[in-house]
Amino acid sequence: MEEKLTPPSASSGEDGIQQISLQDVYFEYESTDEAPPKEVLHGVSLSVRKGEFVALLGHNGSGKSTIAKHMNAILLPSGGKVYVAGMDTADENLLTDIRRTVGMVFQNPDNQLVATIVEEDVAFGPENLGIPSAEMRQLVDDALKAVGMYEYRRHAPHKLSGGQKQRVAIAGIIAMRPKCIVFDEPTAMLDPRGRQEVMDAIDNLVKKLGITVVLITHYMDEAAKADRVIIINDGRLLMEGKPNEVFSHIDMLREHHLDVPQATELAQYLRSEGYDIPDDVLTPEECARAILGARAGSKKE
Amino acid sequence: MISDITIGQFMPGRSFVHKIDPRMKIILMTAIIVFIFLAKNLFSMGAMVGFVALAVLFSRIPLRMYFKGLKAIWFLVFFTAALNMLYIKGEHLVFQYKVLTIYEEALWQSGFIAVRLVLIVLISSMLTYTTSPTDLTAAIERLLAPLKLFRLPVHELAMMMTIALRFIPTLLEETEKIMNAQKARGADMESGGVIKRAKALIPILIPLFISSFRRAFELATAMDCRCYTGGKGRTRLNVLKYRFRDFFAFLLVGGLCAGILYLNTLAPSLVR
Amino acid sequence: MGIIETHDLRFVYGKGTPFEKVALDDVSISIEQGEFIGVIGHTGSGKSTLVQLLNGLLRPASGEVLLGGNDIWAKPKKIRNVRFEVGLVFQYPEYQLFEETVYKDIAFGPTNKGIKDKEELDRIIRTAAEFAGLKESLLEKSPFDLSGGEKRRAAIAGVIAMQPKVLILDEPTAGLDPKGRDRILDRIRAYREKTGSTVLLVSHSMEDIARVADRVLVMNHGKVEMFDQTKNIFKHGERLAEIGLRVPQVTQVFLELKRLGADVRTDVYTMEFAKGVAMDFLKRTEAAPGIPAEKPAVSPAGTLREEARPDDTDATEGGDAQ
Repeated sequence: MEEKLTPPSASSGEDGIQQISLQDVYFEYESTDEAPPKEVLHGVSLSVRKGEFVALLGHNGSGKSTIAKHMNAILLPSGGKVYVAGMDTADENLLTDIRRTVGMVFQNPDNQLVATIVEEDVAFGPENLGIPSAEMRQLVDDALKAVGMYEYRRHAPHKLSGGQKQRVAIAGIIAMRPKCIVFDEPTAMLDPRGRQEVMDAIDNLVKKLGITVVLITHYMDEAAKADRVIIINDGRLLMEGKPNEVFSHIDMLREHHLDVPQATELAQYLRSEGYDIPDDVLTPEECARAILGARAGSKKE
Repeated sequence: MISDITIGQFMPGRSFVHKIDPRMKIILMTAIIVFIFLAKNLFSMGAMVGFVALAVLFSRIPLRMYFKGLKAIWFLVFFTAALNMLYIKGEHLVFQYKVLTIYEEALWQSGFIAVRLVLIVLISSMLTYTTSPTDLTAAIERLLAPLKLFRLPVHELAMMMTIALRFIPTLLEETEKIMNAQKARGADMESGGVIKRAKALIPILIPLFISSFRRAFELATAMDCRCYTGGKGRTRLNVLKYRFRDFFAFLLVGGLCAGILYLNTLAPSLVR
Repeated sequence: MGIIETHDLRFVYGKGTPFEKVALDDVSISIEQGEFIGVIGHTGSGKSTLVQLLNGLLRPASGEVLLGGNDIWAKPKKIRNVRFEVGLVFQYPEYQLFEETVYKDIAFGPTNKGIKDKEELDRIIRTAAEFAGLKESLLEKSPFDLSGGEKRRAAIAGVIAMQPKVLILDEPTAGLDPKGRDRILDRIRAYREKTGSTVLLVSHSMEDIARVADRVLVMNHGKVEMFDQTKNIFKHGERLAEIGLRVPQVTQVFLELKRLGADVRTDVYTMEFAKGVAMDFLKRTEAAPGIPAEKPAVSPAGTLREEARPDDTDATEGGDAQ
């Protein structure tokens, strides 16, 4: 593929290689008639490096979506600071810059598409940014090709499948040439095929376009693809590390109502039974190879 | 399924009529509709009928689609024509039965009314059949742009139209789903009097409202994330440009209008 | 005779229009009283159409649906009664909640059914809420103030309250996190055990189906692809993958082992069973290297749950369902 969607040149204020940085963030929802103010984040500090693929895991109500919404100033911290490429999200003058640096894809694909034609929808962001029409055509076409939806550019969104709609939504963000995209449970409402399509598209963003990705999910097999996994529980960071490190704490994950990839669980079990199985098994293929390896090993003895 | 209903009944195609710039199309169709009313004798009306017939043929939309549009207003045409026939008084009595009188003038008048209505329906169907809702919205936004001077929120209106067009199929689908879900709980929507039926709508309308609000809220957040700040400083992907064929169409319709005015002078008016 | 049967069921969408599409063709199945059936198939395979035909929301183009031996369309005007017998919980059922309180919302179905006696109604509502795992204190709340998982369970209670003979759930765990998912699956299983009702669970998730179903109906392109005991279905992992279904990850492990040339069984679909089979496979080599294996000693999947090894610290089933 020939998409050259390099991110816009680094702004002068960029903070080293850290693209997003949350510093001791607290957040509480304002009080309503019925409910007192409710604190949902209790001092979260984390940072995302340029080009990294980070997965944020946690059960519903753990605060993971609230964290995501801090990453492009949909929510502002009630305590602490959030910086996006060195920009303070609390600074209203920087809002547009922040949002074109960090794009966001949401759960329900239907509720993010604005226009009645796919390409017009993808153009919505660039149009808002005031990009000249001649340049925009290229941006839109490249973005659609990057998610494999170019053939559908003249279609009406409501006739597409869930996975296709979500890919159009992703294209709509890519067309703004962000440096980072935050995905807030993008596959939760999709069937397995749609999930696969969207995960392939995300893979492509990371590997081919070099876009930084933050993926919020509760599917472990999706998180397993990330460079780094962060587990959120009750508004705090619970665990952080490479997927295989994090997934080796099976009991701990269970305790917090999270699944473990079955391949990992099986491999861990065999390992605990004394077989020579590596501790970084994440996929069924790796597990099968590990079992064969262990068998070959025991044959020699 | 109800979600198959397409709004505006756009039928993609590559005909000359399809390709005319939507702004020009709206202007020209408006002009034609005005001149339909200005055609007052058989010569000018004949020319108008001929022109519309040719335009219909050139639009390459299946004729049955036009008939479908006409079927919906058949009764209206008949009714208005009949009323006019009975009520208009004139000098040349054609038919009398007790109080029922029909004059020659009334015959012409009702005949012209019927033809005018049919022509208007044909022309406006042609506009919606050959122009996508998106193009229509863009054209309306552009045509109304001067009204911004009078503080009319033209961009916002156009945005609302676009979003409405985008979400109507989604909401229709949702209505169907909710209806099925309530039917599965034994909701009875097919029997009973007016009040009972109205009441039966509550279990459908409330969830529909709630979900629409949720959608609106989520859409607003998504639009924020895509840097939407209103019409100011926005550019467009597809810029409307007048081309040669638009001027050609303009000349054609201009010629028609001039012709109608000229033909009107050749014979006395048959209608007021 | 099954509680619910279909004969040569066929359904066509948009009949007589250019968009005509055969959604279901030649479907003949029979489900026994009290069975737990899993229904799988990718989007567009006809599974959603099938369940709507079973409770009379759709009328077949040809063929028939028999409920307790009677054609449900024998008296079209009485079709509404069928919906009380065959309760259908749609996907994302929380969007059908509309009443002021959860209690009133659950009452909607049974009231439509014609239950007027206040005490009986109250008893039915409370039983249904309990089956769905809703606390008493939630009943007087507005359904819109509940959490996502609670809303979903309130909606399920609304269908259970009609006291259907057959309960059909279309993707009841869609979009929930593992905790919410486990909870709903456990409630459904408990409901089935206590009432002896027939349950059909439509799902994309093979893991869910593998955990609960006695028999699995696999739909593909509007036809029945397989309909068999759960353990037999997962023997055909390759075929399932071919028609676009994702087999459980553990099954994938064994399919991959087989593909790499190992002599293993592939009808493995729960974690406990997988552990046994994998151990067996590894031990077998130690005992008799190179000799093609006799069947492993572990019993097939049907009786798995009871056999969960006592030394397992992390029993998968139901552990986190309180």
